[in-house]
Amino acid sequence: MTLSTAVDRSAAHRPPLAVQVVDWLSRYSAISTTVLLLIVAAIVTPTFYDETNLRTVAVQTSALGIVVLGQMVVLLVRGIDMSVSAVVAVTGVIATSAAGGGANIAISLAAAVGLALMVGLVNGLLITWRKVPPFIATFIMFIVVSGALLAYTKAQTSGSAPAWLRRVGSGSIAGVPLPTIIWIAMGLLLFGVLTRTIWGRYVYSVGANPEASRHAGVPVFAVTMSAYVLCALCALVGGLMYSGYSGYIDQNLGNNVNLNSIAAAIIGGVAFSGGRGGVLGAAVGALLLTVLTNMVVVAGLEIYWQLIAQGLVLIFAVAINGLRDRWIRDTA
Amino acid sequence: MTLASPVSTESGSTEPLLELRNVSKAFGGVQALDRVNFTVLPGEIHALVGENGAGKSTLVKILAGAYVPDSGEVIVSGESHATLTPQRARAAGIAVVHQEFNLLSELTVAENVFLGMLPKGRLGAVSPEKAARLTTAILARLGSDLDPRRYVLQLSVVEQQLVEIAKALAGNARCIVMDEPSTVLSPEELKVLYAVLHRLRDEGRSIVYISHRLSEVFALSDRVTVFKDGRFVSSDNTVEMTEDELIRRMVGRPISELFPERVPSIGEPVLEVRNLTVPGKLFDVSVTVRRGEIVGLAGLGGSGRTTLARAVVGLEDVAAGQILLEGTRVPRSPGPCARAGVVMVPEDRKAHGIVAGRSVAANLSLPSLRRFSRAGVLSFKREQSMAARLIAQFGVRPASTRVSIHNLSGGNQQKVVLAKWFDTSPKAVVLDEPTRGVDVGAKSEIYAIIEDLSARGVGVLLASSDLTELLGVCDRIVVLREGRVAAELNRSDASEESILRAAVASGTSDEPEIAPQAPQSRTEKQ
Amino acid sequence: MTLTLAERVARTRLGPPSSWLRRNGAVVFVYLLVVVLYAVAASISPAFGRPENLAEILRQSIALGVVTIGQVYVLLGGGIDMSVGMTARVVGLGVAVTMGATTIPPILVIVLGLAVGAAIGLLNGVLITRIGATPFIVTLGMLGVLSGVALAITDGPTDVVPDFFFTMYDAAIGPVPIAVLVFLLIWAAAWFVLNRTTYGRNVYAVGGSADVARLSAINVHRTRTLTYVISGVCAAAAGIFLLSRSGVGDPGLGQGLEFSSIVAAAIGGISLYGGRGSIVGAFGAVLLVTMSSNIFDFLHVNGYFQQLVLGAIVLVGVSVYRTRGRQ
Repeated sequence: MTLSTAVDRSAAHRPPLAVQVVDWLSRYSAISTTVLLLIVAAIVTPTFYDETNLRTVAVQTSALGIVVLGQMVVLLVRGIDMSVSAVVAVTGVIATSAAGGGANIAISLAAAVGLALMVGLVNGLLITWRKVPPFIATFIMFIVVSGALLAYTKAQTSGSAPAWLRRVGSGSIAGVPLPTIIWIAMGLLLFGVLTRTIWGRYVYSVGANPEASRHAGVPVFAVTMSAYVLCALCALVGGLMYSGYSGYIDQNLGNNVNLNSIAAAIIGGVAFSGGRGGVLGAAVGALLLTVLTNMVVVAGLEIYWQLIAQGLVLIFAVAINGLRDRWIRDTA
Repeated sequence: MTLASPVSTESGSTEPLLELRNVSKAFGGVQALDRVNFTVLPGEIHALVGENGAGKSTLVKILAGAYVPDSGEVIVSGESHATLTPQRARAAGIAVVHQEFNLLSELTVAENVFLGMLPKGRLGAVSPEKAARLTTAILARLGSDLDPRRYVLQLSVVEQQLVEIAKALAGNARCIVMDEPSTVLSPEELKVLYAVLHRLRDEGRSIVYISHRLSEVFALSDRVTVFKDGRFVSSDNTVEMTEDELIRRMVGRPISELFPERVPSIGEPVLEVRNLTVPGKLFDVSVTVRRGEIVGLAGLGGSGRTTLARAVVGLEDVAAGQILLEGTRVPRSPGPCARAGVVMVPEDRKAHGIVAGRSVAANLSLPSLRRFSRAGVLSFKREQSMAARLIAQFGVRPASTRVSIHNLSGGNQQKVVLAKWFDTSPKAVVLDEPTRGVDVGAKSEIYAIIEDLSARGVGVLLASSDLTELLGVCDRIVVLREGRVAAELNRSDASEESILRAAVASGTSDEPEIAPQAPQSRTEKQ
Repeated sequence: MTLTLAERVARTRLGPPSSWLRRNGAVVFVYLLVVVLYAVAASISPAFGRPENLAEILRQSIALGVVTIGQVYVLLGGGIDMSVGMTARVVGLGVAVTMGATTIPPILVIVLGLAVGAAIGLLNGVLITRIGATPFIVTLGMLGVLSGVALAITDGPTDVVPDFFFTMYDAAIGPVPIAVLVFLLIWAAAWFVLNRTTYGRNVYAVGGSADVARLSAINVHRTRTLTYVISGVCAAAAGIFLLSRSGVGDPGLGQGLEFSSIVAAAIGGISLYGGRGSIVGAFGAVLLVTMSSNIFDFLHVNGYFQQLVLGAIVLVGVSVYRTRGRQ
C-alpha cells in the first residue's frame, strides 16, 4: 500500500528491476509460495490430497490461523505476544480437568475465558501502564502461566479431551471441518471490524504512530489493551481447537505456537513495526506454514525438516520486508 | 594527529577551500538543489541564507556525507569528490554542526568529542584520561572550562554546541559548517559563540554559517551567499550588501506580503489558563485567549512554550492551576478535549502530527471518526467527502485523499495536520510552531488559515520561535522565561527587541510592564 | 525516557540519587540484592553459606554468564539475539556427536564448534545489517532453523563425552574450579573490550544512535555484525561448557537461554533499546538469577514450582516499581 503510492509519485523514473522484484515478492510471495507448494505436492506427494490428510491440514491451519488472528492484531499495534503458547496449553488442561471433575461445559469454558481475559489484561497493563517492552511483559506472562501449569500438572500428560471438545474438533458441516468454519467466521468478523470500524482505524493508527494518534485523540491505552485481550481470547479458541482435534491433553501442545503464530503473521505481510498487514495475509501465512509442515510429514522426511523449513521461511519473509523498507526509506 | 595546531595561513592564498560545482539533488521529483555553485575561501566566515526550502539543509547533508548528490562535484582543497561519505568529509577537513546535535547523550563529553577516533593510551587501549586531557585543551581554546567527564545528557544547549565545535576541532576540521546555530541560543550565549567563531577564523579555518536571522549575518559574516528554491542566487561581500537587498533576494517579495490583512474582532474569553504549574517546567502561568483573538507565545527554547501547549490538552502532568474553556474545566486528554472544543497542533510534525504510512483521508478523519460512523461502523463515503472537502479548502497538494501522507511535502503535511481539527469545530486552537520546516508558499497559506480561524471566532494560541511570525500574526504576545510569564505585549508595543529583552532579562528590579488587556480598538465585538 | 527495569528499582528505592548513583543505581542495586539474598539464605541454611557452595554458584552461573556477555554486546549495539539458546544446543550436540563418531582431537572439535557459533552469528549479523531485516524476527527464525538442526543431529541423549571434558569441568585449584577462573577472566576481557577499546566504545555509539555513529565515520554495519558474531561464539562456548557439565549431549541443552540472558541483561541495567548500561551490572544479574535457583534447591522448593515462583517474583517486581519522571 505504502509502496504503491511511492511508485506513483516517482513514476517519472521506474524503479530498478531488483526493487520491483522485491516489491512483488513482499506482496505476493506468501500466496505464490503456497500455490507452488500445492502444485509440488500434487506431483511429488499425491497422498497430500487424501481426504484424511486434507482434513488434517484444514484443522491444523484453522487452529493456528485462529491464534494468528490475535497475534496479528497485537503486531498491528506494535506489540508482540509471547504468551499465546502458554494460553493454548493451559486452555486444554482446564477443559480436561473440568471434564474429569464432572463439571459442566459452561463452567470449564468460563474458567478458560476468565484465565485468557486475565492474561490479556495483565499483558496490556504491563505494556501500557508500566511501560514494560511487549516482548518482556508477555514473556513474563508466559513464564508465569506455563509455570502454573507445570506446578498443577507436575509435568504429567493427563487425560483425554472432554467429549464435547472432541466433537468440535472432529465435527464437520457440509464436509467442512468445524474448526475451519470457526476460523473463517472469526477471520471475516475481524476483517470487517478492522477495515470498517473506528476500533479498526484506531488499531492501524496506533501501530503506525502511537504518539501522533494520542495527539489526535485516539485512546491509545485502551486500544493497546484491547489488542492483547483479543489476542489471548484468540489463543484460547485456538487452544480449544488444538485439543479438540488431537483428542488428548498435552501441556506441550502449545510448544511451537509462539514461533509459528509470529512467523505466519510476518510471512503474511504483517509488519513487525506495526500498522501494516491484514487478515487475508495472516490467513495465507498460517496456511503456508501448515502446508509446509504437513508436506514434510507426507513426503516422509524427518520431522526436523519442519522446524528448519519454518525458520527459513520466516527469515526469508523478514529479509524481503527489510529490503523493501530500506528501499522505501531510500526513496523517501 | 595535530590536534592543537592552527591551520597554517598563507596570506594571499585565494584558492577556495571548498567549492561546489553544479550540484543537484532531488527527492522523489522535488528538486531540492538545482545545479548550485558555492565557494568558501580559507579563513572566512561565510553566511548562507535563504528561506525554508531554499536547499540549505540539503547542502549541509551533502557536505556531511549523509546525502549523495545526483550530479555535480564537491571540491575540497583542489581535490574533487563526486560524492562524500562521512569518512571522506572528515578526512577532507569538513565538519558539520547540525541543527539537531549529533551527540550521544549516554556518553561523556570527551567520548563525544573523539567519537570514532578515541585516543589510545598504553597497550593500545582506549584511554579515557587522555581523551579528557585533550578535550580540556580543545575546550580551553574555545574559552570554555567544561568538565570533559560529564555526560552530555547533563549539558545545556550551548554547552552541547560547544561540544559539537570541539568535535569538529578534534578532527582538525578546516571548514566548519554550522546549521542555524543561533535558533536555540540566548543573546549572551550567542556572544560566546561569536567569540569562538572569530577565534576559529583567526586560526585560518573557515566557517559556513547558516542562518535566517539577518542581524547576525551582518554582525558576523565576511561574505554572504543567498539560496532560493534550491538555486544559487548570489555571493557577495557582506559589507557591500544591504538588509533590504538581502531580503529581496531571499524572499523574492517583501515580508509584509507574507501575512494576511488582519481586522480582528475580539470577544469574550474562550480559553483561560489560570495559575498553571507543571513540575519543573511551568510555574504559575496564566494566559487568556479571547474569542477571535490570536495570542502569541514567545520564549527561548526551554522556556515552557511547548509544555504550555501540551498541558492545555492534557499531555502534561499538571500539579496546580486550571485550564478553562468557556468557564468549564477542560478534560485531561486530547480526545475528550477535542470533543469539548480545544485542540492542539504539535510542534514535532513527524513524531506527533502525522500518522505516516496512512492515507491523507485516514489522517484527516482520525480525530472525528465518530462523526462518520454509526455504532462504531464507519461510512467511507462520508469520510471521503469530508476529506475531499478539507483538501480543497486547505489547498492540500496533491489533491488526493488516498495518497500516503508521508509522500506530501512538509507544508502540505502541515496543512493536513491543521485541517484534521477543523471538522471538530474547535472553539480554541493551540498551535505549536505551525510553520516549522515549511516552505514560504505554504507558510503564507497557513497564516491565512490562522487568520480565517480567528475570523470565525476561534481563539488561537500560537507558540513560535519565529519572531517575525509572531509580530506578523498576533494581536497580543505572551513572553515566557524559564517557565514563567515574563511579559505580555500588545501588538503595538511589541518588537523583536522588546520580545527578546523580556525573554532573556535577568529578572531583577526592572520587571517588564505587563499590558493589562488587548487594545481597545480591537475589543469591539463584531 | 524509557528506563530499564533495574533503574526503576533503583530510582524507587534510593530516593533522590546523586549523579553517580543515578547512572549506576541499577548496578548498585543488583549487587545489593545479591549480597542481601546471600546473607539471608546463609542465615537460614548454613550449608548455603559455605565457600564450596559459593564456588558452586559461580560454576552454575557460567553457562548463563557467558551467553549473557554476548547478549549484552548485541543489546548495547541496538539489536537482540533470540538464537543464542539454540546455537548453544546445536554446537553442544554437534561437538558431542563429532567426538563420539570421529577421531578428531577434542581441542580441534571445540575450536570447530566455536567457529560454527561465529558463523551463525555472522549470518545473523549480515541479514540484519546488509539486508535490513528486523533483529528480533531474524534471530527468532534462526532459533527455529537451529532447533531443527539440533533435532537432526540427535533426538536422544548422545554417548558419553571423553574424560577430557569432565576434567575441564571438575579441575580446580584448591576450592576454586578452574572453569570459574576462566569464566572470571572472560568477563574481565569482555569488560575491557567494551570499555577500553575503540570497538567497544563504537558499540555504545552505534546503539546510542546509528546515524550519529555513521556521521562520525564509524562503520555501523561492521560494528553491529561483530556483536552478533561475539554473541554466536559466546553461545557456542556455553553449549560446549554445558556439555562438559552433563557429560552427555542432552537434546534439551540450552533451552530458554535466550530469554534468561535477555532478562539478566535487563535486570543488570542494559537498555533493551541499545547504547546504555554496564556489563558489570549484567554480571551481578547473572549471579542473582543463578543464586535464586540455587536457593530454591536449598530450600527444597519443589522443582515444578520453581518456574512459577520465579515468574511471579519478576511479575510483581515489574508491576510494583513506578517509573519516575515520565516522558
